[in-house]
Amino acid sequence: MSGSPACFVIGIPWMFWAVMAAWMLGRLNREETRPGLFCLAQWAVLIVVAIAAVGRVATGDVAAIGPLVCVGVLAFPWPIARRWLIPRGHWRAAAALVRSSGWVWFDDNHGGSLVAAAMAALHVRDRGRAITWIEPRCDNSDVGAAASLLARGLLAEARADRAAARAWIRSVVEFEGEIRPRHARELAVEWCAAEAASRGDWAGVLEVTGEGHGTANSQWLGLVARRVLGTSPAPDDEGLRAGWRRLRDRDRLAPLLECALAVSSEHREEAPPRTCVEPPRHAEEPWQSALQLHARLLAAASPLAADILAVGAAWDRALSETTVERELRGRAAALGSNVDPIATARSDIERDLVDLALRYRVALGSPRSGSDAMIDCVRRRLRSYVLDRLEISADALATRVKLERGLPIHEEWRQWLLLRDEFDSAVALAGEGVRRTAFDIVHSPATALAAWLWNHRGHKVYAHQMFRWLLRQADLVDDDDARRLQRRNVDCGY
Amino acid sequence: MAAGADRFADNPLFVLELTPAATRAEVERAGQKLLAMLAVGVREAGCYATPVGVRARTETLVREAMAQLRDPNGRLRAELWWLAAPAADEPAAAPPLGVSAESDGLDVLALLGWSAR
Repeated sequence: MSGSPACFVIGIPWMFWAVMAAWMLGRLNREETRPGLFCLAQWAVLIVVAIAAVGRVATGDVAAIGPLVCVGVLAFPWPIARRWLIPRGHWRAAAALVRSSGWVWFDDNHGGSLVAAAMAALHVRDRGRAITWIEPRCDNSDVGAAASLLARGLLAEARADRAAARAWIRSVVEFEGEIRPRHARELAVEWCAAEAASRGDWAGVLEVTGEGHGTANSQWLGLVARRVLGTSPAPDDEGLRAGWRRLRDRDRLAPLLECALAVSSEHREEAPPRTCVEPPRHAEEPWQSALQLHARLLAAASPLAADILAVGAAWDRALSETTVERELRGRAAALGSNVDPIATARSDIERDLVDLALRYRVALGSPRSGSDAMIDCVRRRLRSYVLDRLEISADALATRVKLERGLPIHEEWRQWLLLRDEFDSAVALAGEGVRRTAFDIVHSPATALAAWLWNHRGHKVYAHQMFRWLLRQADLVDDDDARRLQRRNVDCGY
Repeated sequence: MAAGADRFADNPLFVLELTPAATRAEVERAGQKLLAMLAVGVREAGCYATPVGVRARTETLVREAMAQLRDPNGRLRAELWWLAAPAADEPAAAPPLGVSAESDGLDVLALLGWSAR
């Protein structure tokens, strides 16, 4: 080693402490410090160390290469973690490094470090240790909520619980208003787009990438989705290739590019959905005809609302025949049965059609008042079922909040997502007519939960998102009182 | 009583391969015959056709079917849900749209580095 011993004794420890100070400055970086005072201080230190180290290397001091490397790593912690540490499964190193991220995760570099660790955990065989280390830290992270939710979703993925992963990560994509850190949403969009593409759900890819919040990868997946679905403007071959060439991961995505290029770039009109149930070719007696349609509907892979309507109409025809009714009642009497065959059949049919609508999420719309047609009975039964279910969930939530039985914040958020899903599915299945009733059911418990999180538990970001959703629903149902209340809550910020 | 597709699949008249015109004696005869065939492992007795597809037949299913047809209410329900002609084949499913990453074996999450390949 060359250079004077005094320089070595003083210079190297000084550089070491300077690098440590830069790391600490990165940790301290927060949204409140915009435009990034700690970040600027960190880079100022790094630049000074870099100049000093370059000077020492120029004088032949090989030991100064170490601090120079440290400066390079600390200057670009996220790209280095994403490129080298995460793919190799170094979750501890990735977490420690991203903790100093000044530019990408400065809003919440604690959350960013958890995201990095969770991403790295997906690449290791023994995920248990990583999960045990990351999970408690997620529960204590609420600076930005988005990063910690993303990390929690990735942990669920590491546990092979794809449904939970999808729920948590998708909720980050759906965050309303400004989101901190923005990169959490970009990554969430990329994950959701990639996950939907893996399932072949290209409409889902288009939906998730539509608002343009994602990374370059997710934007390109959006292009592929347009090409596959033939949605205008569908990219031509050159457009797809140009987008692909701009990607950092283009080599790995080459097989997907080949698949997409194999699809014609012509605009395709969306084909009308195919019905599964067609009337029998030969005129048959109405009961057998309705039964045949019913059986076909039950065996169908993806029934449509039109199928259920057709079966309902067939049953109306069958049940309105006086000869059918006479024969069935006569047969019941001959067998010595004490049940009403018509009422029994109606009940069975309604139950089957409601079950189908629920299982395949078929929107049947609102019932016509006063109508006793089969489909309207089914709609009433479906409406009653979805509202009952929503009420049970809302009551359970209200009771829990009243008793102050809190769950870890991520589970609390999951419960909220489930309630919101039930609300959405009630409106989707039973029509817009139930939105007002459904809102009345969830408004009070959801407001209580959000107020509890905001006032007592300090989870303001989560509470703010809940208030925003409630405000949107109050607008949709035109409820002035609820709108005023939620407007005030939203204006409290987070 | 079963619901949905099981309403047809578990219909005792289909299990015993009878029509609503079957007498009580015919029900007993058909049931005993199927039980005997199942006991000696006759292959044809192991399944039966329903409007919602072919189903496996077991001794328990046969005994349950006989019991239901002995009960007037069970018999009435079985007759209500008895279909003379099997349902026509399902219309062909809509052709898949262009590329399916899943069918092409592409795990896009892995391609983008979200999981180990």
